[in-house]
Amino acid sequence: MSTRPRHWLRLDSSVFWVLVGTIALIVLSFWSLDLQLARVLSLESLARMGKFFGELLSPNLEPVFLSKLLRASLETLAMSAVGTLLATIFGLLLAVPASRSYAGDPARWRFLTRLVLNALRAIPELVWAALLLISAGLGPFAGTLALALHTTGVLGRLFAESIENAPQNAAVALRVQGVGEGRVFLYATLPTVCPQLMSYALYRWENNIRAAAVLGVVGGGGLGQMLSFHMGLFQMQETSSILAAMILLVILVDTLSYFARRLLSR
Amino acid sequence: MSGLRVELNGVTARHPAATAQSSPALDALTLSIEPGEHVAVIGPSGAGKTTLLQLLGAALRPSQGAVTLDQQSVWTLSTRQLQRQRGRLFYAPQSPPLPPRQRVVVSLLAAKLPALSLWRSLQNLIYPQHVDEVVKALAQFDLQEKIWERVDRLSGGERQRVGLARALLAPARLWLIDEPLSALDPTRARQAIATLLREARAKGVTLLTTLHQVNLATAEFPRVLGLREGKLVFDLPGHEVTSERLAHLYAQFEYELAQVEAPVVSEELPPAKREVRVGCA
Amino acid sequence: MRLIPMARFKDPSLRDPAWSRRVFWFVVACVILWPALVSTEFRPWVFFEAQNLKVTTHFLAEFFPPALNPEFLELVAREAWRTVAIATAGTFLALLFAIPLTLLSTTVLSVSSLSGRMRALPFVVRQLIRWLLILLRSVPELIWALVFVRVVGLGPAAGVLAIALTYAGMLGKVYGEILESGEREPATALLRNGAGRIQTFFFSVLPGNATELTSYTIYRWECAIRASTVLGFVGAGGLGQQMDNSMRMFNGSEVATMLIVFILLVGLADLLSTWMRRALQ
Repeated sequence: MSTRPRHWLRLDSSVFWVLVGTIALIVLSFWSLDLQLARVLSLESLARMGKFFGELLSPNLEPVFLSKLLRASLETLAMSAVGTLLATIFGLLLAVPASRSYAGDPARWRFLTRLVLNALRAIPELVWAALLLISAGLGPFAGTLALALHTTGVLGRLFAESIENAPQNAAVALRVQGVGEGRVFLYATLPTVCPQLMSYALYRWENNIRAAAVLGVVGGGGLGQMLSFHMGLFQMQETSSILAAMILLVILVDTLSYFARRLLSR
Repeated sequence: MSGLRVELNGVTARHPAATAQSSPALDALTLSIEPGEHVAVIGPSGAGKTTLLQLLGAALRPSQGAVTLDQQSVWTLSTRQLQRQRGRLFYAPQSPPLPPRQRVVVSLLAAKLPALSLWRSLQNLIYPQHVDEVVKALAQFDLQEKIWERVDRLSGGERQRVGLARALLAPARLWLIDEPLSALDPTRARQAIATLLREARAKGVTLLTTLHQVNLATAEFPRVLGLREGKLVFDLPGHEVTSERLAHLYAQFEYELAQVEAPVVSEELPPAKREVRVGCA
Repeated sequence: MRLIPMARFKDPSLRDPAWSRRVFWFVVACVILWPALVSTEFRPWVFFEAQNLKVTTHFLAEFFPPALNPEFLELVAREAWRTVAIATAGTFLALLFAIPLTLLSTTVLSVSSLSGRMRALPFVVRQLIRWLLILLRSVPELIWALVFVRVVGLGPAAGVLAIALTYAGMLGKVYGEILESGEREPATALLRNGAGRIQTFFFSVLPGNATELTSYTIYRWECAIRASTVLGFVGAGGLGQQMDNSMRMFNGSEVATMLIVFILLVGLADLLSTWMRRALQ
């Protein structure tokens, strides 16, 4: 005789409680926020949004403005590239002590370095930018550093995991010969994981161009600062051009990153 | 520069991941190898051949017994002394230890690292030095055209020969080579073994290699060790290894595994006798 | 000490062929890097200018001790909850938008492709929905939040809508990828036998991919918590808005508390998310 399968919706199933908890969380969220969605999504409100978006359909294409836009786009591009480059370098420097090179490696700095990397990662780019603005003033420098700091945490963690999971074949052969860990890393481990690290860095650049575009909103220069300025003055035509520039920049970097990664894997 | 003298005294060793209850990879092994000797180790899979090499390469600690290199017990040395002793070793694993995107020239120069200062090592990464030595080493294996190629652009056989060519650049006095011929066709295999033996003799290094190609082992090596289930079955000059001994070495194992897969035995041996024997010959 | 011993190698075959290429690209990289550094106003010494240094040290000094008075902690706790609420509400709405968009854009439920190629109209519709998803995804949520703050005013509604739209795009895309890379045969079998698309979805597609779909949704919720903090900086309420206020007033101790609370919150969400995903396995 076969027993009937137990119903999944029963009181001792963890799935059940997860579901109940989730529903409770959702209901509580909506209730406590008092979103007045009815007002927000009312016809009047939607009409206003419609008008707003409608004004975006006629971008400003005057040469003077376009040249300013180009400058700001290049500034944003530079921010994302320099920030990602710095993060690759410092991420690699931190990834080495943050990883166990071989089973049984004491790796004395691992805990501390991982803590630092996690702290860098946990704080979003925008928050870093807001903090750095206090020390460095307005402008793209704070934005670049904010990107660099956050991305160092992300890449450092990814790099450390790559290093730990790397095939040990070449490294073991050198260790038997008594070669020091530093040179084992340079001659065996790094050449093995380098393509993967570069791939992570390029992929992260795609994220960083989006982040760089918006960092300007808090004062980090580039397209974001222009956007915040013009939108504050309700200059929708300029805003529309800036948004278009942002989308084009994102597509450009995505394409460059894709082809660079294809090139690396050849 | 003469080879290292190797001694094993009642050595028992286990795989790093094995439990204490499981049978050891090597069981109470005692043997000694004179400086400059050329020794081949043969035996069925799982006999402990790779473990033996790892033990001699100080990559694995024995659970019992002592491993001695040049009258110095390896594991009683200080870290500094051990590192210095390691500089005298060369280990070629079964799968060539070559990072896929590295160029052949750098992979070979990596074998020379124990003899290079820190500055020279870094220099080599930017612009390879000692290229003439590398060309000479590769030429011994007929690979001199591939010197600037990336490792992943080579065939399996070429990669294996690059792994062997590294031995010629290492400042080592003991060569531990694991299955050097698995990806080579018979002609290349003969050439490779001849080259290794010739170079080992010229440099005076002690050579220890594991082989599945039994006919090459018995024909070319002055000393052949037969290993089975971690125990030394025979220790004879190559020409004294009879086909009957070989059959015992491999056939027993085959019967116990009850698998039909024939061991890599040369055509000179008679078909294996299925004997109901437990334990070693 | 020479870096490139070109003179030694009169024989051109001993020179590194990749050297000139590497030097070229290095120079190109430097040439591109210089204007980039200028453009980003890369001046690290700015931190050490007298006035900046004073402000920085004063701000950082206030970090210890972080503000721990009860009224402030109560405020922080309330805002932290609001951040979670915004994230949850936003992700939920994103889910509501994404589900129909996914259903409309996935080829797994395509009836016309059962007999060969998909017909033109369904293909166009699917492509249009995919482009819509890309559009939703391309605009950063901060921009949406800026727009919504102008239209619906300051407060959490702007944040919820911004997250809802952007995440609808992300969820839609990844749900689509999960469905496309999952097993199609059960769904195709049902469709061939005349089942409706919604029926097929509930009886085959959804159960087959439920774990992956839920796992990604929970991961997105975790990201939403970070995002809603960031959105607070443009007036969308929650912890971010409070942090912005305190930073404008250079109140280091309050910022320190909120940073700590934020890191704890993110860590907690991570633990919760991992537990939930494991519980659903």
